[in-house]
Amino acid sequence: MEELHIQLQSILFNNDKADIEKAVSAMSNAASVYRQKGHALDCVLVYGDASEAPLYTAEEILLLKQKYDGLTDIRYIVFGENTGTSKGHNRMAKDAQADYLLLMNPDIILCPNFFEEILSPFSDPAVGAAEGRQIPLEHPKDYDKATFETSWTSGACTFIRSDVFRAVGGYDAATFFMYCDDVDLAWRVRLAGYKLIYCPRAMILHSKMTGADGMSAPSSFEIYWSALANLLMSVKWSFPLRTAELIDRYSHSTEKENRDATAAFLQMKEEGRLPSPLDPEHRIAVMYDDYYAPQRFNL
Amino acid sequence: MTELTEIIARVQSLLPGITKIRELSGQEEAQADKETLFILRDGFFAPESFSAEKLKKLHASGASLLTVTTPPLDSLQIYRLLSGRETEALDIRGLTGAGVCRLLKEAGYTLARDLSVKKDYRGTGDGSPFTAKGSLVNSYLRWLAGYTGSGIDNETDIYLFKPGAVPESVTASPFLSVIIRTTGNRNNALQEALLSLAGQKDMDFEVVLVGHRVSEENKPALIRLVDSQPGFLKNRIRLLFLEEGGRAAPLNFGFSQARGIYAAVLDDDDFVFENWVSAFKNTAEAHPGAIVHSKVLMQDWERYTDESGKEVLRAVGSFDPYYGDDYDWLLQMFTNTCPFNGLAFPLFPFKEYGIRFNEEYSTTEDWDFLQRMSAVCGVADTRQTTCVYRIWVNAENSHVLHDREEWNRNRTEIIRSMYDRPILLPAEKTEGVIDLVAAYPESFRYGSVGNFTERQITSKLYFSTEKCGFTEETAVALPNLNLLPDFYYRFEHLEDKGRVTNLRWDPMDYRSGYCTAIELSVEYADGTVEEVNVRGCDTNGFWLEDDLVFCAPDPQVIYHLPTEGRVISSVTIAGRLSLTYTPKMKDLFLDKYAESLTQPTKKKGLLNKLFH
Repeated sequence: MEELHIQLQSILFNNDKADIEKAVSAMSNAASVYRQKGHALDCVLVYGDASEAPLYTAEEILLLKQKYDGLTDIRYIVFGENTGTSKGHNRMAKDAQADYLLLMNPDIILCPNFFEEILSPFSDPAVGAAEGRQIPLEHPKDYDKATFETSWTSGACTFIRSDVFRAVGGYDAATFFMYCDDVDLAWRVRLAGYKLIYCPRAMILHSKMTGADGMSAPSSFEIYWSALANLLMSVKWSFPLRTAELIDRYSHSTEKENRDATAAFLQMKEEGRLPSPLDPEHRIAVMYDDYYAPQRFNL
Repeated sequence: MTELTEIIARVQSLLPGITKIRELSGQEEAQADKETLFILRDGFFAPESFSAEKLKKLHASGASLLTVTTPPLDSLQIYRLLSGRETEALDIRGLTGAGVCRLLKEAGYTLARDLSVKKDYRGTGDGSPFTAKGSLVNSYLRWLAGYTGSGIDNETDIYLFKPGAVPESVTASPFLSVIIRTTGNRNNALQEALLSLAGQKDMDFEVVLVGHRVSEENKPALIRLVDSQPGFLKNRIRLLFLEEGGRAAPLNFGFSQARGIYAAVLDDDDFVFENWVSAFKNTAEAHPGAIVHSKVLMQDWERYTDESGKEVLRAVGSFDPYYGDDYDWLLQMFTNTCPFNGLAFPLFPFKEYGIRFNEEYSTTEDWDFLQRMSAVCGVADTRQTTCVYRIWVNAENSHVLHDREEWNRNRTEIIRSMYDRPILLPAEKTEGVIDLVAAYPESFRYGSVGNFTERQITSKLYFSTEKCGFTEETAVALPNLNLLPDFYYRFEHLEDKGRVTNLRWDPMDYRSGYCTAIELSVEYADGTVEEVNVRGCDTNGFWLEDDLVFCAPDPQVIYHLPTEGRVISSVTIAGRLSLTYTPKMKDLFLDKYAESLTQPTKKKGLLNKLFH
């Protein structure tokens, strides 16, 4: 039986160690469950620590390794800077000797049958990446109920062929610090001719609280980086009218973060740091109002 | 003691295997076997001779026990103590019935029958409401004593015990026991429930997973599912199977197996947010003993089978904060507004008072249980949203599975059962009760007023001047001069009221209703006549098209004259009057009432149910 090599990777940033340990335990368990079903699996976890001070000592990582032996290895890289998601993931993926990469948030808890479910679409060589179903807030973007094809895969938990990741150049770290980097990666994977598949039974717990009225309130940080990412996406994926509309909207916004993001964007433009437009015919990139995919409902 | 002889005869019929009956004192050692019934009296439990070891030996021999003890305090003494007027020196020695039960339970005995001799509560003539039988507080205390099964009204505590399993010693109790009931055919959703528990910020819980009537075919998959969980979660799960009973049976079973301080219930297709346990815990720590209530979001989901034959669960709706209000004590009496997964119950009343889920209910068993528990525990709000109530738009939901008729039948029974319970009203709800009464129109309360044409309707006119406000002394009352529903009033010779600054017309003395086509005409002493635009007047009614509708007793219309006042010689008022409302008026009333309250959606639902 041929052994499958998977690299799981997350960026740490001042996380609660108890949450991380639960996540590690669930990853180790999911790998063991997959092996118990008769599969040969090499499953390596790589953490890139972007915190101001390293969260773990070498001894603590060793203890984690010993305790959670469903994982073949746990590698711990101290970045020494806040890389953001794109740069951090690219750095960890660079030397990966794996067939697949699982790019995920550090607090994601995998369900026991995760690997069986997430791997099942990859019997089709046209599938480039897949994503799990997030709980407790299922992502509202639509997917095909029969084929499970979807417009983009969420960076909270994207499972991707390593060669595809490298072939498309990984995350666009030069453009995106965080947010929309996942949509951009997903669209480039599709532009390269691959399909993206939503796996509803590959459940992942992605902690996200919601307010009493059912709406999640974005933080100041999220508003700024989302606004900037939206502006950059509109340039990179050839939506000049949307760029103009967003500049108008954000610069008149009552939220300072939106105005600041617009100013930062205009500064980048002036300095010639905006990305070159892709997919001018919009074969892949399609906007649905403000969304990058049709929505089943609004969160 | 004739009664004891009769009781022993009953015991022999209950336990036909008993061939030997003898009393056992604290001092003596006994030859015991399972054919022996020992009678233990007060002396056995006296501190100087009592031995827990001896009880354990009896348990090991298989002997049955009949305890016959005298309560150290009776209810009258307890109520006197509460009243603060106890004057006699109390000599409290011996065990209460509950104390005896606890000792025997610890030794492994199971209570087979309560055969205690009751005595009638007679109360006293000392005037204290705590002891007097007819007072509200005494009736509440006596109800409470019955609720807890305290036995304080027993003349003699008599309990029959059979040897049972020695209780497992539990060294540490988690805060929360999560009771999940599953029939073993929704493992995909159950995995989701378990995953949401894995993500809890506070892991101070255990999971009692009750496989209820799981088919032999489904059992292995359920066992595998539990076995496949990560260690930190698997260690917390106990999978127990129950082969009998209806919907409520696994709840009673799960609660009886729970080791926590509180218990909460999840169905196998529920899921919760990461703060579910911590919100319960923090609130329970601030309000120990109270039921804890959280806000719950509603969301539409669908389930379908994909081409591979596997089940897919898919959210199809936004979060709806339908259950996003604080616990509403009053509304909850009328309809259930609390999804079960938003509640945590203290386990003490279940374990110690025997407050169980009513297994006769096929639906609404949660509401019934909540009402009986909250009558004593009260409810504290976490004020946090902690979970989701899923509505399966294309699959089974309990409200789809059980038809409306059955819901209504159970609901009627639950409401009727509340009639037998005194209400302990939280202080902060008093205002709500008054609001409800104040806003509840007379005609709604009593239905149609009846043949009102035969009733005399009296109108009254009040005057205020610069010197004096509206007063009965200067008011003028007149009977209707026309035949209802038409009315016609002519108030004359009003010059003696002086310079009137405000004129107030009370169309009816105490009822409410509505007036149509009102014509109000004022003739002044200087000979001028003013046709008053009634719509411009102040009123405690509200306008619905051309009708002026009054919802509360004491309807009023006030016309403000110039500030310097004018001398009036006569006032004429005519129109039509109805004392019953049109459906449209009721709707409008509901809207207006709902607007005035803090929880409009629910209040409107309640009022619609009340009136339609």
